[in-house]
Amino acid sequence: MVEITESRAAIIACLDTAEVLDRLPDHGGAFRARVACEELLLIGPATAAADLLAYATAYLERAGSSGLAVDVTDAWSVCTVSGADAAEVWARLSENRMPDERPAFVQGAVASIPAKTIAGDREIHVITPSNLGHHVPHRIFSACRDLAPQAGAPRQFAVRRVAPAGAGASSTDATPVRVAS
Amino acid sequence: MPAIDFEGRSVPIHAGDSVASALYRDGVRILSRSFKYHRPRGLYCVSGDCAHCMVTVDGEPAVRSCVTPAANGQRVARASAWPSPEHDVLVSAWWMRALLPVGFYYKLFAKPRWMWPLAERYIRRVAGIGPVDTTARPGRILRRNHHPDVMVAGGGAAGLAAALRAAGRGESVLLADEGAIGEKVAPGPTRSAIAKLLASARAHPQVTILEHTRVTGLYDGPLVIAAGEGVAHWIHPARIVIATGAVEQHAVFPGNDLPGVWLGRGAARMAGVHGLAPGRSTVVVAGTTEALEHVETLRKSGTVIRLVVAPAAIAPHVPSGIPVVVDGTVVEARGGRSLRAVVIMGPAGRTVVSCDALAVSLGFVPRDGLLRQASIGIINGAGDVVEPGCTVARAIASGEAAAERPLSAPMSVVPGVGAPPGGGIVCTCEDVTTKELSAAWDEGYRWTELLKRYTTATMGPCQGLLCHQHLRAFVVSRSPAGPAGAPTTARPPARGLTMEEAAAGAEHAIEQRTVLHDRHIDRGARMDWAGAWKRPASYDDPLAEYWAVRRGVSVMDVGTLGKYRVCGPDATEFLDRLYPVDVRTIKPGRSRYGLLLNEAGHIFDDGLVAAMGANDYFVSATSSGADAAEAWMRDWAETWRLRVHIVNQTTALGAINVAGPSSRDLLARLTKDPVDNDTLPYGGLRKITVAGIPCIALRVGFVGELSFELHHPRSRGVELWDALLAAGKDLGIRPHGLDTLKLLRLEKGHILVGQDTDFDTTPGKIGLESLVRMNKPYFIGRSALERLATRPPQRRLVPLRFAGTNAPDEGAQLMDGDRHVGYLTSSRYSPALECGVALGWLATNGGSGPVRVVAVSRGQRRDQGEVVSAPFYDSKSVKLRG
Amino acid sequence: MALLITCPNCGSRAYTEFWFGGELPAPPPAPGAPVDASAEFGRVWYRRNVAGLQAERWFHFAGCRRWLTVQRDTRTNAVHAGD
Repeated sequence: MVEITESRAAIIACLDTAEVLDRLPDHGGAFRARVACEELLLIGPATAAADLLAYATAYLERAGSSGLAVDVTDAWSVCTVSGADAAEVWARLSENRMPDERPAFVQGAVASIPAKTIAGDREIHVITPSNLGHHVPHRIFSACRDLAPQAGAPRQFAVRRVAPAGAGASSTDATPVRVAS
Repeated sequence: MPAIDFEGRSVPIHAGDSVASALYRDGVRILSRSFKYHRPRGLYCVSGDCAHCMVTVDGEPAVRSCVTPAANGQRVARASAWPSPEHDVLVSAWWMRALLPVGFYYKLFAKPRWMWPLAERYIRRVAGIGPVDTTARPGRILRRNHHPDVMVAGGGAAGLAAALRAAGRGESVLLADEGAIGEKVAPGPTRSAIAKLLASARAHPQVTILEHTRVTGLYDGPLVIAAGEGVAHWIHPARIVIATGAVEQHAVFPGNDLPGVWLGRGAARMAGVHGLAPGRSTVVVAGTTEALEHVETLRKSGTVIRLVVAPAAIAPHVPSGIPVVVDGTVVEARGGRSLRAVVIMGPAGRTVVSCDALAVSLGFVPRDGLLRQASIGIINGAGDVVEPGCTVARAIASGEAAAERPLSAPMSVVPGVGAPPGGGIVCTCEDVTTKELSAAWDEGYRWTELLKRYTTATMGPCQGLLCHQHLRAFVVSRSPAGPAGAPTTARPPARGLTMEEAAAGAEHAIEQRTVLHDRHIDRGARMDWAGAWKRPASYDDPLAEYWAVRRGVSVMDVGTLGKYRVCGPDATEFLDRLYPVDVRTIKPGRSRYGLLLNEAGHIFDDGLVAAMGANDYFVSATSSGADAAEAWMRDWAETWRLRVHIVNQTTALGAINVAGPSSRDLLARLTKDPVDNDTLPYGGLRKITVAGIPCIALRVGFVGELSFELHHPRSRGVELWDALLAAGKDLGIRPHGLDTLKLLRLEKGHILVGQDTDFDTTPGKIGLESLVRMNKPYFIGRSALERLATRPPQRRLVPLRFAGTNAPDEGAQLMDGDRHVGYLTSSRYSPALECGVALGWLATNGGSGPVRVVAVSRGQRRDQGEVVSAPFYDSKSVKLRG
Repeated sequence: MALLITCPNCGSRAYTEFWFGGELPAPPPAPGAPVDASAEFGRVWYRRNVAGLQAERWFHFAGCRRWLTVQRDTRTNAVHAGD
């Protein structure tokens, strides 16, 4: 069983030298996706867009090396696949190996289009150029019919973390971190 | 009672039947007719290796019936015989074989020349293994990727041992077997050993087992493709172990392919697994100790063992009561459509023995199709495939060693029979006889690779599983020293692969869409490919679209344009080097049209460079060149080590061009910001808010009317489009598509890069020298243009005018008298000017070229044209500067 | 089918995720430096095209959209990192 939803995210591109980006602190749990040495994407829920942009702009200004923070949310579409079979969907749509650690960030083609994918606990967020946003959901529905894909309502972007062992969290069980590739 | 539908009659199925055993029980003896000579073929290997038993099952041709489980309701038919497989007229090819020598199609039908097309049509109809069902099916087969550390092909003792050893070292293992593991092995100690290994493997968390999954090919990567039930597995392992086992050696003598001649294991399988005797009276060639077990199995199935031919070491172990010929050889199998007798040469001379079954066990050859596909170092062989006929213990040890060694195993060489003078079919897939091998040798093809290609031996469905060793032995026997007998490469697929399986997971063409895509569809637009985008070519009335732009107001979705923010301390320097225009003098709030040149001075893209602020630019590129322009910019920024940020905003921003004499009026209704000609002049840009949506408005002139290109966040695009169309209703607003755009820009003489430019078009050739600042010390392509400046161009792109209402074709050739002088790149009828307008390449040979030309379109239609100057429409460009 | 290239940002990827940028040419003359026309023509138009190790450029369009340089053996398609 998998659920397919659109995640409403705020995506802020931070462009600066590698050293400045290496030192960018965590902010409100936004996901830090390191695209390249000099580019990092801060990805959080859409409601945090203004806050993330302000935070990134201020940080880069303080760093003083002519960095740039830009809201690039509209450049991307985020398709979230969640459920026990999320890893199986990945195995069908991508030739690339998903690392074992969670969360994981993978850049590479998904369903034959450019993509950046964030993997959480039993979920993957496939981030594709917005002019191709229709493609991944369409491919999932045709390539994964046997997994009973359901369309869900759009939601705010969030990466589901794996609960640490013994935490007794209500919504996550003690599934091992290692996910079969 | 379950049954299959066999050529219109019902054939019952017993438990455990394959399609072949069900047919055999029903009395069917001829399963196919061979490829070239249409010789009758029956069961032979019964292990899915040869091609004798191929039939069409449920519309799928070339299915090996001996390894295909029978299922109720299957439709089974034999192929490639006329009028029937029992009586095939095309076997006349065998009787005429003297006229069809090896490579005959290279020699016959050459003269007279009209013969070949006729012959080819006939040959196509009679050759082949079966018809293909070409009705399209939706993709039922899925593709799935795997990333194990070790991939094992083959679930015998060696393969399972290799899997367990690798798993024991902490590696992840994927093991694939083409059937149910252990099913091919007769009950006995081997079978029990395999069952034990299988139980351990199934229980091990590191091991994944795929049954009924055939490994078809090994590719660079490494990548292993294996076809399973409804799934095409794409496996990306770090190492590969091939443990595909061994096949019994193929026997070569005249009549060796008759129905009734079996490989020993094949006859034993039919007898032991299905209880079906291979004939009433059987001769056994017991060249292996295993064959002694076959004798027992065959006897139990009810056949009479007439004779056993065995070497001296094995003869004493033949059960008493059965006549034995010690150290004899079968030299001929006689029969018409099935075996009647065999001729044996023994120490005591020749014997002819009447029988209807011959079970031959001469030894084992590796089932090495996969090993011979590739020569990558990360492949190991294990078990029978490298040591044919080894013991179970040896196979297990071999598997364990293969799991650990990173080197590839050497391929073992097993002597084949070569080409005995008497004849026989060496390659039964392709019908290559020993005589043909000899003839090819005599013609000078004296190397396995050449013989393979010339005779087609080993090129059939089994890819040499039966005959590869014989081919090598033949060469070695004629030329013992040297590399001529080297193994040949096998090609994927090693086992049958349907087109559906090969295409599993392939994508249809993927469309890029703007955010207004659904709005266009709802309006009934005719959508067409423009590069990788789907764009509206036109809506319901292209002429009305045109006049809306020329006389009223219109909107166009130009969201496909490449758009970039280029900023940073070195941004001005960077862009000034990239473009031949002067970037330094572009003031904030102004844009300049620029050509992108490569280092050879050739135009490969164009766009606008607009200054937003100091060292902060908004750059545009063509829709189809957007990605290439980004790659180009990033490459040069890296090469020059300039501090510049490049943000690709092609998908982040939508863009709508508001064009026409009333465009300013329309905008003014939706924005409080000033958009008059002083505040926002032609070539300028300004941030304005339109219908509450933040936009960058650029004054552009591509279509030759007053226009405002509004770049906005993609997410607000629909809102903006709807607001413009609503506010402009009384102005007669309607959107225009790509077809109208192309006409409008042509009337202004504006080029489309890629349509009006060629791969080697310099600015000088299209009259755009003014866009190149040669006095800049540097820009990409400068030195090339300097070198070319000493030679005037041999051709120029010129504007042409054609009288009349039918413009010539785009691509029409231009003639000056009977001299060919060029061709048209763009050509349309202009409603405003009531004539044809065109751009075309014209040979100028350093001068100015002819003024009057004739354009020749399809159907030899001729139009008189004259070279004029552009623009055709509004020659002073007053309208777009207003 | 799966010539693999290791992108420094993204990891090992099939070559189909990249655009091939060709054999790495000699470095271009510094902007503003005097240019020998015939040497520049050779640099722009000619390539060594060796049978052996070749330094070449690939652009990872399906991933990080950055350029990388590898050494590929044009006889075996073995790919190694580096300039």
